[in-house]
Amino acid sequence: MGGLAVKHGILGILAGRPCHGYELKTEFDNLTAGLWELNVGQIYSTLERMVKDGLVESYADEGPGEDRKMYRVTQDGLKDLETWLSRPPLKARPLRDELYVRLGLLVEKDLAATLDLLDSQRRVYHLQMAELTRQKIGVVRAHGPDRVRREMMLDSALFHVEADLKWIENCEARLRALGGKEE
Amino acid sequence: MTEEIIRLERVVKEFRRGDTAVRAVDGVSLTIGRGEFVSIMGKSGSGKSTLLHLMSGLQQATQGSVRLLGRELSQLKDDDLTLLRRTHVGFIFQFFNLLPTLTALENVALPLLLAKVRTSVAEAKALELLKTVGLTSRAAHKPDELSGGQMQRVAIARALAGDPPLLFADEPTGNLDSASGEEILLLLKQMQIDRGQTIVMVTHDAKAAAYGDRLITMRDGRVLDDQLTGGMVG
Ligand SMILES: Nc1ncnc2c1ncn2[C@@H]1O[C@H](COP(=O)(O)OP(=O)(O)OP(=O)(O)O)[C@@H](O)[C@H]1O
Ligand SMILES: [Mg+2]
Repeated sequence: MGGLAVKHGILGILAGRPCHGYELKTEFDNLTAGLWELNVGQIYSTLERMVKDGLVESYADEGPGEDRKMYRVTQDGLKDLETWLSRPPLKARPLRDELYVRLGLLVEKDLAATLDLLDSQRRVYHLQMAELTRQKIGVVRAHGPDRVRREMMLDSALFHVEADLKWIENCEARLRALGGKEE
Repeated sequence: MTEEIIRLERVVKEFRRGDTAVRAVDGVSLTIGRGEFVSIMGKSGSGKSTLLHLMSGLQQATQGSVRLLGRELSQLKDDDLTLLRRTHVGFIFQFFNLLPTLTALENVALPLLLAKVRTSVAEAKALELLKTVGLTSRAAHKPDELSGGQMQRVAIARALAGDPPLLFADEPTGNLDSASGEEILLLLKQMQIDRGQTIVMVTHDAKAAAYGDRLITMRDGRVLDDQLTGGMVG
């Protein structure tokens, strides 16, 4: 999945300025307010492929330093980026959550265990929302030039966790009504 | 260990109507430390508002002990309780509770005037608070000339008028759209971060609750869960 997005994210960053490979990791995290959780390995393997495809070229940096290799976007790369940005809207994301499998295996067998699972999951989501909110408060208070972008990304994460929470509450209510179980 | 500012021990609140009794709060024990931002969630009727009223001395417990800033509330005389509340507690209600005939400035200054602060001093303080909540330009407006979010900001300014170390908020964003709601929450968070205010907030909205660093979940008058959600506040 996401491979195309990583590739075009890198192209977009390089369209702004040439970068070292390791800089691209920071820039990519910035772009998505850290939501993507990309690792450096993926950056380099993607770069390698893009050089082969002629979308990006590497050259030696003048200055000192360990990693002297710089990357810049080619004309083909720019064209590719433009096409990608103007593609039709995306389909809804696939709903593929490990929780569904666990829940599916438990729900008809063990009501108490299912409620426990939902309960602990609820706590995790609350914790996650609090963490995202802290990041958001930090962004707002910092008043940086990237405030809008970062807030939009964090809001996306917040809305998704909120939806997960609402669903959990809904499940809990449904199961309690079913089982007539107290507490 | 931070200084303890609220302590509840086996607190029960019963409402009687004829010979039926409703236990709105059913044996709650908890402590809240200075500078905490505590969110309280739970279904409608689970006892959230009642708990807030008990903590702030707006209502008396049927059983158990409520200590606010080291004082046992059941042992305070009415006058002393009123004074303690006026000097140490700010309360923000869901429906703003502003006086319709007074301007924003007068609404904010009112608690100070009631506490016998000189008018000029009270109004200067009120103006400063309106500035804090970003409403300087609306000082002369009456509540019905303000939006919901603006009214709630006036209500926050009023709750802060006596520099209370403790702020209670019952669904402070319940009647606001999400953008105005976020402004209010950010304002509360700023009070906690910048002024060290202790905040206890009831909400049914998980996004609002996430502004706190502790989450208490109520069910049927009891504490179902008490979870620390805070980390470093930046
Ligand atoms: N003054 C009162 N007289 C009688 N019963 C009351 C009174 N106040 C509250 N109750 C009852 O106590 C229970 C808890 O009410 P409370 O207002 O604390 O709930 P809540 O959690 O704040 O609900 P909501 O989310 O709807 O505001 C309810 O069953 C309510 O009917
Ligand atoms: Mg209530």
